[in-house]
Amino acid sequence: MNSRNRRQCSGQILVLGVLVISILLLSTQLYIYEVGKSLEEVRSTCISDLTLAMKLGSKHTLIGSLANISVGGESSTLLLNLERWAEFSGRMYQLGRPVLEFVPASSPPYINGSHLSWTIDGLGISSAYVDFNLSVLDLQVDVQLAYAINVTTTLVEKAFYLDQGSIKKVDVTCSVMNEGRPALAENITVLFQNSSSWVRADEQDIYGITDYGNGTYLISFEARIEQEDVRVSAQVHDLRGIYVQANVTCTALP
Amino acid sequence: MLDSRGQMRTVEAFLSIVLLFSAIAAAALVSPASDFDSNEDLAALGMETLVTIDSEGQLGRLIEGRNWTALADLLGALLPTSISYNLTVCDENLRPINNSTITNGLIQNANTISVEYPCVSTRLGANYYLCRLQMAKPR
Repeated sequence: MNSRNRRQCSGQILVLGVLVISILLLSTQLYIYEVGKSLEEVRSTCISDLTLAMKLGSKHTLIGSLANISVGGESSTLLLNLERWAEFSGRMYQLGRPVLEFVPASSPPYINGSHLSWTIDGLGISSAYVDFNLSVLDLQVDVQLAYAINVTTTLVEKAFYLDQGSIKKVDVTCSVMNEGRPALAENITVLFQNSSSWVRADEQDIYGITDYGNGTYLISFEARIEQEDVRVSAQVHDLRGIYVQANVTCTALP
Repeated sequence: MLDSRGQMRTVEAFLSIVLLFSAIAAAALVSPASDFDSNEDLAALGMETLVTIDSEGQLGRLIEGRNWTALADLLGALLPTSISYNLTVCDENLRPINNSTITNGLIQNANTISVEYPCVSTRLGANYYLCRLQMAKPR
């Protein structure tokens, strides 16, 4: 009788034992999963911040380099600065080791990643374009990000003049753009050609500049200009310090 | 008598399960996961704050101008008031360049985390700086 009862109880104990072990396993599994999930979420937030910082740094490197190149610096400045940036950012090792590779645009009109085109038909372009490839190594998962940075300052210049006898009244409209969007200028200098020399418009007695606040500026002045063709040149630094200029021959107003 | 013995065993097994669950729950409470989350959130907040200041190049301009007071004011305005911070700005050779402290006073005996942010100044070519932001939140 006793042995029969023991057999019945041992069955119950077996079922309960299995149940306990199952619950224990499931609980442990769930706990590990939850902890792992929170680690991934947090780490991905930090990684996305790091990639954003790297993108910003890359963009600022292009801006600084283009600002230098556009005022007469060597075109190799961009490459040198990018190498410094890759080396500097590679020393950060908080979330993983960032490895930054870059390829400056070389297809026309770009040479060594930069392109300056200051024409005589009223269009000026200062531009830099670089492809980047960012890898963050030594993490549990490999992070790879390819991105391209384009920094372009464009100046569109239009000019008209009204012949008032010996004096010519000139209106120059300058539109400044950053990456195709209207942008403000830090300073604008307009010059006009008189005989063979270039004269600053703001040195004339009658001179005024109107800022429309949307990247468009109207510069008006009156000057004694001898030749029939009135040529003006606009020289602009945008707020990022990038220089661009454009020349144009004024259209005569009736 | 035999049935009550079986019931007792079932009750014992049930108690064992309750005990087991209690142990698991207690283990989850004392696990370091919640502390880790808090520190990492703080780190993410620090990075996001520096990215915000740098998005239009203002961080680089302030560093280039050695305008540490304005930088401290900006950090104070963007970070929650309960968080203490201490920012060290290093040059390309990782030497500290801020001659005055950029801080609102680090709390003692608190969780302190540190984030590093690479900053590029666009003025005068391109200059590289490392911003090391220590942050602390009271326990």
